[in-house]
Amino acid sequence: MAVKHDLITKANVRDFAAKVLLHSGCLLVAYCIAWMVVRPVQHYFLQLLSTFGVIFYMPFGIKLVSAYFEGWRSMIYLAPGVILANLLFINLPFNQLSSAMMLTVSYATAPAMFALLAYRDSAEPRYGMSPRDDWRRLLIGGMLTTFIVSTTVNVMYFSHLSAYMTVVSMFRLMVGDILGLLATLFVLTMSFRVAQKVMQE
Amino acid sequence: MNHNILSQVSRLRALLEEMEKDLGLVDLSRNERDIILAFFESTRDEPEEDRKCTTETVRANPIVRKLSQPTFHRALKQLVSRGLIEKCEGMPMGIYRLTPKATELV
Repeated sequence: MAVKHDLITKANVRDFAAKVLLHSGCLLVAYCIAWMVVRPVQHYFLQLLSTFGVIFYMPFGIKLVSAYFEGWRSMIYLAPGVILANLLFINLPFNQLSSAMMLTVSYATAPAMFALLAYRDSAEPRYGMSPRDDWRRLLIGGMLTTFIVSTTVNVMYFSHLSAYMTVVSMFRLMVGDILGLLATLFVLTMSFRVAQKVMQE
Repeated sequence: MNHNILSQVSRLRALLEEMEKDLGLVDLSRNERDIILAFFESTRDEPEEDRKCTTETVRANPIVRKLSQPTFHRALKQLVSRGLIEKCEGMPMGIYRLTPKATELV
């Protein structure tokens, strides 16, 4: 009995570690792409755009897919990636309440939206009735999430802007998030196709 | 690897495939469609769950007879990579089978 309990505990730890590695790893890669590839290219070709906001913001896509499959637990699995990404790229001060609030809203909104959609549909938690519903639910959840998060960002950091600039800023963030989600889904699709080809060879 | 992650990866893959299908991103080319139809035609006497035949039989079908050999085999390779046709393992070369995915598509 003691041995069985020990095995279950080790499996749980392995399971947890694997998910942390997968979710945080993907998030970190997405941040690297956004900050080291997309942002410089965007800066170079689209100088008229403000530097705030990345046009293909893939961290949003990873955050959303993670929340779709793991719900509230995605916040735990993504936490190491969030901390590292903040240290490397964003530099939000961790000791400020506004930073903690921002990060909480940023990563808790998606699980909340999917829970709401699941409750509304009275379907399986987090999953649609079939894969056909899954991708639609993912996109709807994404749109709701980006609206709430961009509204919060603007209220917290850009309340000094005029109404017009606030709307423009929100729109920019939302476009970046949705394009980032689509880019993430595209990259995942291509990855599965490449993996399938490699396995067949 | 952890089974829970595997089931989620499988679910993610199904989600992406449905999205591609719904957005019309997995349309077959004309040659691929013709080969699938020729396969169905050539295997109509075979059991539903095991529709197999040789490439020579399919190539003799009027639907695809005009396709050159390189074109035929290129399209066949595409169909295999899409998972609509598969090689029959343990059988002589040149024997292929329609997958359930092909049946759903048609």
